Amino acid sequence: MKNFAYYTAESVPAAARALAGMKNAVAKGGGTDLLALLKDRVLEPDEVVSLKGAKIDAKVAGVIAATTTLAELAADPWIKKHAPAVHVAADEAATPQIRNVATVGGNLCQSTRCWYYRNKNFACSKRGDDACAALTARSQHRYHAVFPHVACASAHASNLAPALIAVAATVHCVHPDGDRALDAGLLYQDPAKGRVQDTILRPGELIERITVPDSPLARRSTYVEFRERESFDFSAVSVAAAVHIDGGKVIDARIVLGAVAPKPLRATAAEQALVGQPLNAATIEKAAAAAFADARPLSDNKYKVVIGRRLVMRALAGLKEMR
Amino acid sequence: MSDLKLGFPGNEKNENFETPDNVAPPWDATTKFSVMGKPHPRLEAEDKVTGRAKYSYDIRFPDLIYAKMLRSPHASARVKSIDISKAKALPGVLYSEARQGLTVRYAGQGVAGIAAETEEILDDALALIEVEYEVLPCAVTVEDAMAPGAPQVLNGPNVGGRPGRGKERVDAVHKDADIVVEAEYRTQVQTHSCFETHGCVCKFDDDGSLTVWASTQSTFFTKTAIARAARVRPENVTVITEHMGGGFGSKFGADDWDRFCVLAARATKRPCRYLLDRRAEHLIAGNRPDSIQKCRFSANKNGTLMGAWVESWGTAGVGRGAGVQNPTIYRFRAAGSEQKDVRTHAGRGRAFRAPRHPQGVFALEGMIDEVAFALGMDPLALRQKNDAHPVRSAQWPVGQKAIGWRKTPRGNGAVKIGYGCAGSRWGHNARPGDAVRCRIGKDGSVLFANGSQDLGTGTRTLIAILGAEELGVPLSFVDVRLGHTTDPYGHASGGSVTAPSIAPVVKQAAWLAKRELLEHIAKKIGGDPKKMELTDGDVLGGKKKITFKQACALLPVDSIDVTGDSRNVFRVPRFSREVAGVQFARVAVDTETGLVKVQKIVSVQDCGQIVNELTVRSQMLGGVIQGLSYALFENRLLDRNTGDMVNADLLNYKIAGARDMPEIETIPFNVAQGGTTAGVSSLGEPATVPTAGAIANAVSHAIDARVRSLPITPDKVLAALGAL
Repeated sequence: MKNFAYYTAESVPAAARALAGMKNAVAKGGGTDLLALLKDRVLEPDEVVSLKGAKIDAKVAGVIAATTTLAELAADPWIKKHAPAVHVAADEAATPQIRNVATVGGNLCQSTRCWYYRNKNFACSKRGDDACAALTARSQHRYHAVFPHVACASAHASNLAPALIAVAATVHCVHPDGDRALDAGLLYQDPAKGRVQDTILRPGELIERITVPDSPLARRSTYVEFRERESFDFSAVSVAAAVHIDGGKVIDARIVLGAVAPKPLRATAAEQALVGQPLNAATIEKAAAAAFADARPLSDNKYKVVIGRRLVMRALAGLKEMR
Repeated sequence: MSDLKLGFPGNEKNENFETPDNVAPPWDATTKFSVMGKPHPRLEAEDKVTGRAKYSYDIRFPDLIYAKMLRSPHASARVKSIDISKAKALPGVLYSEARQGLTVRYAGQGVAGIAAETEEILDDALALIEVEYEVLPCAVTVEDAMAPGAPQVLNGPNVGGRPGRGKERVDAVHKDADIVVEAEYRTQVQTHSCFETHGCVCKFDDDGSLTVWASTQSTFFTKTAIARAARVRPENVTVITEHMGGGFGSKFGADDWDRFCVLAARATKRPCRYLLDRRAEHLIAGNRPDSIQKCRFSANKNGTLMGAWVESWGTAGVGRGAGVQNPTIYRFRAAGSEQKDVRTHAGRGRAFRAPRHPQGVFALEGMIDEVAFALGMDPLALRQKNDAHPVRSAQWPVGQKAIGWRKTPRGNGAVKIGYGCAGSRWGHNARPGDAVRCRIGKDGSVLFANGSQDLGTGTRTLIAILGAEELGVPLSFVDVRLGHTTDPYGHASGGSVTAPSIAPVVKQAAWLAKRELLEHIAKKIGGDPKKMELTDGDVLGGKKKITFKQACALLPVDSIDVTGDSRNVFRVPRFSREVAGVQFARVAVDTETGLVKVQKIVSVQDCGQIVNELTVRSQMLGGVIQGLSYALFENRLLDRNTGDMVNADLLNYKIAGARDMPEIETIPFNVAQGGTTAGVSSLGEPATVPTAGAIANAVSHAIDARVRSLPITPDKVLAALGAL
């Protein structure tokens, strides 16, 4: 890895101010993803600003500091009760060792696992090259996107993001030019050439807190993922789903797909298929079909569509049983 | 003339055997052991779990320098120029090499090398090397390399291999048979993924002698190879391998990177360390070749196997050795194969735990199941009907009972539960040539020494147990020194030769030392040394009973120092021709997602004469774990455009982890085998051979559709179910 200067920030606003004055800096949460990117020289920053020790006021139930570890989040009883999808996603992530170090903010801002992105021997549009090595007939793309963006076939790696989007969490961001709060679903953007970062965060903008609402939707939420290996694997497909049922009918629904596109994907057609309908076998099947109707899988990853549909059905069937 | 009783309960036979005067009497089925056969923790167990054990990877010196090579990102290219000047100008860079004009044949091939004061400087220096390549077309897959107009990988044709013999006979048998079954099976490339990567630490002393701490399966091969590379006389080279973090057949000598390391050490007069990083370990340090196996088997309606013909293609990258051990195990009227060995632009294949066998058995046992289903026969019954091996014939019912064998799959809803089985065969690979030193000190100390290494299988403990048993002392009295080439010669650990080969030699060394001790003691306490014995730490049969320690104290010399060798200890009748094993699997398959969860594996393994029950079980467990990982997960994925490996890490190169483990029931089958005076057999390799075949058969049983390709990933299961 290239040499860099290392700073530790006492608060997120202080870190944001420091980053604003730097030209080639990155922020570090737990560092579990960043370290690998530095070692492979995918990222070669001059400065690394650690948020690990930043003090964040997050004592209120449902408020998650960005520096909370996945293990702490998984152990939060309020979250477990009020946002089961978030609890399960945190609890299933990675390994116990990584959950003890990795942070919520870092999980949301992590880079794709695309092996072409992470190996500088290959062309990658995210890294600024004209081509995407994943988008040829002979590429290896069994874990890549089934909803590829024209320029990029990477799959988004976060399992927490779909869950937070499904429960309609709010992300609070800090920047010297002004703070803002946005729906977790608006955090991510479509990829473009040369844009390593997947989020809409401006240079120097940092996530400080996430708030999970106390809502019927969040309480009736679930997260299911499919991975080939039980011990330490990223999911090949994940589904976070939440419904608000009143009077026997779905009045609000969120279905979010993970690892199928360069960003977590709201399956809005599937959500619309449910709203105004009772949650039953027929509507569940219709929603699952709608969720992947627009999928354009690559030659090695058609299986993700089949499994993805099945996961949507399993997630919704789980919500049907939930009280 | 005395009788030797060989075999196992239910199948024993007597052989006439006369022990020569100068040879330790052989152990047989009637021997009452006091140390052998029980479960003993490894002598170094505590060192290993506490981190005290120093592997070659851990060797450091205050003035140590670090070496590493820059590796080609292209699988096929010509190096037009290398500019190493910026790297050399970096403070702390001490030594370099640039391979101008090199023709690159596989991604990961070393193009330039650097040695530097620290690993950080080394990393920066490598990034400063500028290489201009002329990229050439590459052949990444077997199909690529066989296509018309394919780029030639090396001199000579891409396709080599062994011509098939006897196809006419097999075809004739097929014609006479009631049914013929045809199918194509495929297996993937598996990398060894040794926990401790390949490499060494080299240190020259002021007198020009060289010490090498190597991670190797052969200290003596490494010694010769390093001496040649460094142009040092072999007698001035010592190779040390105190502990080994895995080899699996990939570490038989000095490699390109070891040579660079020793040259850097010599040029700088500093100790130098080069152990590969994980990426290089995957790319260039060996792999199990892949295979495409076109099989044609036939049988008669009464369940008699008739003909078997296998035509195979596979690639060991730029190397050779991509055959499959197939068809075998069962009695066929006529059987044979034609195996094509196809060169591709990829890292060289190497011997990998039972080379050729797991891939061959996967196809063979799949075909046996397919024949059974075509005949409407229970696949286990078909195997038993056509298996003549005395040990395996006894193992099938043992495994059947332990797994709870069922003809019909179970399961309601999406998850189906299926059962499968497979067999294995291996050689009794006892090889003459080892020598072992035994030293008994006046202070009561006992040391056995051999210069070869403990591959991680428990050889150190095995030697101690054999020595203690023959000497007649408790295990705690015995020390073992392994892995220093200053001690007597020992074989490379490959072909599962180590235990069967060294066991009778340890026994012989202990027996010689014991005879010498008793002769000394007889003179001191009175008695006939020929009638005296050492048992459980006591000297019996003399005029008075004394302990072993008291006896040692009476020695008129500082120590007894004898060397046992392999002369005469291998001329003992043998019970059976081959090592036999069977495994059974029970799996649960989610038919909606294609996910396979192995619930249970039963491994029944012929172990010959068991020395240490604990490490025998450990070998059997390891074989099942590695076989399961091969069956479901491991797969070297090369980018099909450039030939570079896309999953050269331990995240996307998936190896089964703790949560993927099934219940594993190990049933060691103790057989008084003979063959040597110790009767110990080969175990490490056969223990992994049937696992993938048994799992694959269980998956196919569960879903009533056959998956003929490894690894059995969810997409393949879904495809077999017609869901893709």
